[in-house]
Amino acid sequence: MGNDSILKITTDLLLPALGETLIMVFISTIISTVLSFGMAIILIYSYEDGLKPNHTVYQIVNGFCNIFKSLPFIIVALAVIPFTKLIIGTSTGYKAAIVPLVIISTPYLAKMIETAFLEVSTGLVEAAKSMGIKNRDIILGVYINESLSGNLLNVATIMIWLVEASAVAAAIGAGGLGAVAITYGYRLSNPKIIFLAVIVLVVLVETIQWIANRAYYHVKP
Amino acid sequence: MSDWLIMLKTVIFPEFINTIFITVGTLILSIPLGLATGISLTITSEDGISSNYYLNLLLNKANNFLRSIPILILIILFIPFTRVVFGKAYGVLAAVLPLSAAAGAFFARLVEVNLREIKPGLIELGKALGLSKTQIVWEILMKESLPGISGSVTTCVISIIASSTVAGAVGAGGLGAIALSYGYQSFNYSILYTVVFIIVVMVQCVQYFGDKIRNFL
Repeated sequence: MGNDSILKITTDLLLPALGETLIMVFISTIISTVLSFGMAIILIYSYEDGLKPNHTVYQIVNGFCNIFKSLPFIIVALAVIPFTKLIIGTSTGYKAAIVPLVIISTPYLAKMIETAFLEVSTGLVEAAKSMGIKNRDIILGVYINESLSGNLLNVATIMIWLVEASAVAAAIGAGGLGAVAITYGYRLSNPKIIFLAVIVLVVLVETIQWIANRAYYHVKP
Repeated sequence: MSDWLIMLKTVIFPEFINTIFITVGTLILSIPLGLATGISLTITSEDGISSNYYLNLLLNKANNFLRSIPILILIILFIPFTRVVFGKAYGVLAAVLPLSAAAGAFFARLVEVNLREIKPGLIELGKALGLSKTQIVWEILMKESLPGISGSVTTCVISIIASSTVAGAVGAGGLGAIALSYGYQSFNYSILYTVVFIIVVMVQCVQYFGDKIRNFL
């Protein structure tokens, strides 16, 4: 493979790997966005000045987020292998990597969404409350609506971070561009392939950031 | 003595020391590097005290480029360079270089964010008092952002611990390597979960003491 032309390396090796990376990153982003919105809503409901203050619930969810968001990805991925096997049936391959990727990115994103929620002006929330608007509608109409542009950038940040984590996941058999880098760059020391893989990754990250920035200015009030 | 205790003493403890060594070594290199880059990014920006369009563009692009390469791949990319410097591309010392490059770039952005939060009025005041640029950097930028920067150091330490475990996958040693070889390759779950526990405690300790120092400042 190492002596082949750049075109052949790209079509036979890098594009399929890019496909796997994209699947891992996109599916993990979608699942973790849904889950972390749920967690952030629980946090915003239950914190002490929230819509329905509940100290215990807040402490449990908050503690869970704080512990998980600061753990190294590879450690979490290894620790949840039994769980991954239970859900997916195997612990290798790009599909299996989605489980630890979701587990580690959800608490991280949930805390970022919570911060965006807290930046929504309290006056607006108070006004909605005094108009007798139901809590559910305050969440949808005020919190989520007002923080949309900020959360868009948060999701982009988590997506870029998932590109990075999915490369690490290759160390435990996940496939994707990280696996190409480990196999051809580290084990076979092939500089050409690893430089091409780096170019693909940098372009991928820049593209995600570019789309997110465009969308941000589009939805920004 | 049970197997677990023997493993704890002969395998886990030495690698724990290695992880500490990698983390401290990386910190020593990356904090000054990141601080210098962060300050340069801020003062050369459009509204900075010595704005320089091209230098700023260069620093920004270099920083973005470094940060968009996943750490695992950055370590592999650094192999030829590390080999020139240390004569070998594996082991604790070899991990320090690529980790410092990544952590330095990350820390530079955190420093930049902290410096941007300083009120522009304060810098104007410094200028009006006739302070030199060096004095403005040390007396105003650094002193004002000290608590924020100490918080950023904490974040940076935690991210270095995380990336040192990744470095374990490509020959650096440390707790990450133990977790991989015993947990993943030989399915020894008691070793794996001991390592997980140690890292959780380490990260929580760093966060706790980091918060204490920040509040103290």
